[in-house]
Amino acid sequence: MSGELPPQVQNQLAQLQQLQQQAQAVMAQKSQIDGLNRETDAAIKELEKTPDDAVIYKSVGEILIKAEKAKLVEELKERKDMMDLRLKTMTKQEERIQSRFTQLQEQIRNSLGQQPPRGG
Amino acid sequence: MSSTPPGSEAEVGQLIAAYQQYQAQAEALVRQVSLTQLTMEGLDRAISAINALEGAAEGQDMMVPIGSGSFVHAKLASKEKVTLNIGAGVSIEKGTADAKQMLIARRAEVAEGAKKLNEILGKLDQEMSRIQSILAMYQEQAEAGVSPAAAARGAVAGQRPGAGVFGGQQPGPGPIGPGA
Repeated sequence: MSGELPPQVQNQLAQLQQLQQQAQAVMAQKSQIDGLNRETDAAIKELEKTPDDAVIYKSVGEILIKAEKAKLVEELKERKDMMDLRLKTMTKQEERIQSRFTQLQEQIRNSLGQQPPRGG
Repeated sequence: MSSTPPGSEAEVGQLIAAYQQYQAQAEALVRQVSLTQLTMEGLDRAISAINALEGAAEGQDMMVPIGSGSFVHAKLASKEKVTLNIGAGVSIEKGTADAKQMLIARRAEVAEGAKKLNEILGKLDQEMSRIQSILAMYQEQAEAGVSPAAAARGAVAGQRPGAGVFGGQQPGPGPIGPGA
């Protein structure tokens, strides 16, 4: 079917597909970070509920190392801040892709609208 | 679903796009449901292990898994404490009873999540069946002549996911969004 389309539209369609792939990659990354962020948040809340003298471990590779509650909470909060920042960047990226996608869709619609009707 | 005339090429196209989007959502949900099932199985194993600890004696011989179905010999040093993973690479030592309670609560949360996912899946399934029946109706109507509906059935049978650039984040094609 795409053989009947003008090269310009074919090119636009290819760009559209590329944008869709980019969007999917950004979405996958975003949802992964979002999950990690929620997990970190839950861990901070759980640690804050725990008494100061509780025995706490931090996993490093396959082993668990004893850790101090205050230091660990601080570390997790820093990690969460970094993830929040990355999420913001990704949301902006997502918006850019979305707007480019809509623009391109409109262009394709216009190009197809200008095409002479096919016979048959 | 829109102001396009029933059975028109545009309407059939919209129905196919909606169907494919629902299908992509359903596939993602099925993956999530199997993950929650695996999590529940893991929690069940942990709860059974704690139950078994209650009947064990300190110093009892044990086999501790080291992965790939391999074990090393160990002795139970304490049956009063269990170290629980709370996520984000953090584990907290808890009393056995507390740990068991936490695991049971976590299992209930996961089960509730799985139930919700299954409910959404059910709704998606209903919506997909509705679209299929509309397309089948158009196909029957068109069998006397040539219609886009005939092509539509083939396209739906092809089952290719991905309708919008952000799939589930796009305004949904029908009443069921990802947050439903």
